[in-house]
Amino acid sequence: MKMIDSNIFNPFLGSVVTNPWKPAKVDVPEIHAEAFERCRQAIKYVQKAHQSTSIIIHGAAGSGKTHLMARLLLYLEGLPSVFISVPLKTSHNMLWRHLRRCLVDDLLRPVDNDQTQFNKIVALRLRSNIPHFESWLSQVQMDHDLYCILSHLLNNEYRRETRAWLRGDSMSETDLTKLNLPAPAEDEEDSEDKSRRVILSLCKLFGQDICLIFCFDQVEALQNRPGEKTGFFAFGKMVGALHDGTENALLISCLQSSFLDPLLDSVDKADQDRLTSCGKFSLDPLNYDQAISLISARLDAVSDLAKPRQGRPRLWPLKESDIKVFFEDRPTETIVAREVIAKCEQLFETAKGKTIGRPINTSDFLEECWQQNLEKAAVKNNPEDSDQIIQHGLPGLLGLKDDSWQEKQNSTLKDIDLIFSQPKGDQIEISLCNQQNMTSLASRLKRLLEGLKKGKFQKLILMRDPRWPIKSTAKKTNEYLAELKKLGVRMIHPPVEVLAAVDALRALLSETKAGDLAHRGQTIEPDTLRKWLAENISPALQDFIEDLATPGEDGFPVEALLGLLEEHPLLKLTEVAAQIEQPPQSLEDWVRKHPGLVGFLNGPPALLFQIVPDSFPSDFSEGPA
Amino acid sequence: MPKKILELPNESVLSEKILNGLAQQNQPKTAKELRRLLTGPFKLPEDRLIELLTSLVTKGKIFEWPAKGKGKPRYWKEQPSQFISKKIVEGLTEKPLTSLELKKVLGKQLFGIPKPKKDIDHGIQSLLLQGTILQHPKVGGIKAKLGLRPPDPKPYLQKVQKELDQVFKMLAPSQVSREAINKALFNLLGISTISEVPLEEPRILDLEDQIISEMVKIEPRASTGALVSLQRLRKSLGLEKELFDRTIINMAKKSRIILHEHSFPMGVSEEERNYLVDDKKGHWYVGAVLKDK
Repeated sequence: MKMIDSNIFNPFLGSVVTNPWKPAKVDVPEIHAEAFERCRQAIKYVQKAHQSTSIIIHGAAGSGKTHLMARLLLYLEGLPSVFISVPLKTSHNMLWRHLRRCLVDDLLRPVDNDQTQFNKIVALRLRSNIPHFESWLSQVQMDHDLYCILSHLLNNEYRRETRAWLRGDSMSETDLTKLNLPAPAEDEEDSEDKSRRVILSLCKLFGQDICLIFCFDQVEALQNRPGEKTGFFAFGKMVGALHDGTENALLISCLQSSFLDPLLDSVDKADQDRLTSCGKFSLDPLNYDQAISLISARLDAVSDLAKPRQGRPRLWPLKESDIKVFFEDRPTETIVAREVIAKCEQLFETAKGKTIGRPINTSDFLEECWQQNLEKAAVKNNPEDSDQIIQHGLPGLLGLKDDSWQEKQNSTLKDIDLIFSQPKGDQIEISLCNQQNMTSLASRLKRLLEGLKKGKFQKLILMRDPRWPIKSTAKKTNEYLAELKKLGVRMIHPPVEVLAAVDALRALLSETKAGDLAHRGQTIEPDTLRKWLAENISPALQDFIEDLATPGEDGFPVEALLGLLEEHPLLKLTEVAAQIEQPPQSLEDWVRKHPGLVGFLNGPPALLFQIVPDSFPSDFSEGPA
Repeated sequence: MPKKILELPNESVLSEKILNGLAQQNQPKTAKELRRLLTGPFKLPEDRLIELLTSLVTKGKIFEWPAKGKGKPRYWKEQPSQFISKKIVEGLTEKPLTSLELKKVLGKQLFGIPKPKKDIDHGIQSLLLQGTILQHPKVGGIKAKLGLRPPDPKPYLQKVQKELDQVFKMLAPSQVSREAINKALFNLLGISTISEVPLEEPRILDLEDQIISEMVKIEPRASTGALVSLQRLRKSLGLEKELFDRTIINMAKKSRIILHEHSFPMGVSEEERNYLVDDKKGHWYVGAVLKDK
């Protein structure tokens, strides 16, 4: 029966808070009040004792861990603090690099009247008896490069480039010269170590009285397979280093209760002590009264309902008896906020007189989620993210199709980012070569060549984003690459379409592992998603997997082709064929076989063109998406 | 016969030896003291040993301890702050103590840490924050103390008791019995009288109490709301699966404990799933929290 106008907004839509920076419109402070208080006390402790501390917050999927972090973020407004959200959708091999990106993105995120968190700290520092920027920076011992970058940032110059450097993005020679920074040394420092040093220096620079709250969300996403310990172990090491290497950090790790024991069992005893130095706190399921408060608060937030609700029962247009029955069906009081909201969403629709049709099945729901994720990934895809996308996404992708390809830990091979092996002994080693800087790339290729000659690799594959072609002027790089290719090494350029799909896949898998993918209030199991993805894998991804697994290289000069189209985005096929010294027919065959890399128009005359993605990432001044 | 040349062990073997050596020590040692314990090819020059020790400290495998007086830094398997926390908890095991009493008890157990009082204060603050130890507020002539368990509320109710006695004295001439006053008080507090609580089968109640005390034994912070793994609890109690599951579900129904559900029970092996508690309605539970924290 219709009780209210069908145009009234359903306040129970959108039950999942997945990003603390995008809080829910309604908050009920008495829910998880103890956990919130514990976090507040921990902040006070850090500020008073000048000692970092760490707390674990855990609960069932949908219990409101991220919601709690959003509440904490609101509480911090006006306090001398910095909030850094670190969703752990990343590979354990690049935890420090990921943290560095999250830290910089959130520091430079406009929060208050377009003021960034960084600007707020600067204002505080300059107020506290520090006359100018230089004297502030010189208080902390730091690298010359970081000092230079911070000086530029404080003087509000080269914003795009300083941001890129701070995030740890690969920088071209031109950009480095602009920033007065030297070209990277031939034997560059390990980028994880470098990121760790930058983070610790920044924490020190902010000073003891500014509390940095690192919120590590979706910790469970670090585990690729049940029982795997590597990701958790690396996470424990990182938290341990932050705990001991800083004096002003509160480290909050959020995860599902079912992953609490696996996490603590995977880390060293010393890191376990650091992870829980401020304890572990559980977000319990809602009791009946809390559920009623939550429902009332959501209904109260709809102004159109204020008048019709006057003088009626508190949950009108919902019936309290329906909620009672819902609770009685689960006598053990294990209902989490997400389930209550999902139930009320349905009840509200019924009150609007909408007959609930046949619910869409899980497969259709997953199809919808996949398309949404794919669109999002395509919009934000840029070459700076390719390392992270491949390193984190490839193990998940290979795990879908062929279980026999297992990721193997690499503790000895320098410049190798991923190793996959099969039980019968086959192995591929992947080196991600997404350096913008040709000196860095040439150094990496040189080291790989030396390793190859010493017989260190079984089947080496290089991977580079096609949007960063290697120009013909990069002589050393091209020389090393040619020699590597002569020795059977392949360079794969995953098409942008494939990179976006791998990005969407890793995001969806992480969301599911964290219990954030829910259909009608019910959490989707990772295995269900994996099965669906395996059955619905796109032909482009399928080709990419096959390309990885097939041995040998056709010897086609891809780099020369991409480099040429970078300089001349539209050329006749015959001209290109002449320039790269290939018969026109073989060029056409190759282009048709690799549709995502180079555009092709049949003609006549047949034309080749550079593929430019549909959407570009937003300008950095708008803050991260 | 040519003299046999002793081959120097590599860094990982040396580190392993040092770690094993330190693990056996019951207090921190300086590099010099540690060197005395090493023999043969492991007896490195002191500066090389310090280099190795520093590298192990950086990796978080061992911890540096401040020097005793004007001596040299020391090294040990335990971190100073964690060690102090452990000692504070040990010191409070027997009975609650004032902060001063605690400092006296711990005084000589901290192996010459330069500012023990300050470090103990830090440790107390941190343990209070974690909920591992609890404040026992000052009451009457009893000083404020620290304890592992919540304080006994009795001394805090002495004033209330006196007032109740006065009410009794005042109403006794009007033929109001103490029982009637108690009943009125219970009503006022919104609790049923003891005689109204239905009696349970004693064996089940015993078992539930046993489970609760085991929960606190496994996880000392359980009394302040920490989750106890049902897998650990099951292993530790060694009860038959059916009985354990039924009792846990009953305790949740009676609101003695709160259960946490496993999000992906079908994603774990059958063996692991067997350790979870199953309510036979498609829900699997991974941990329990004491309701009356």
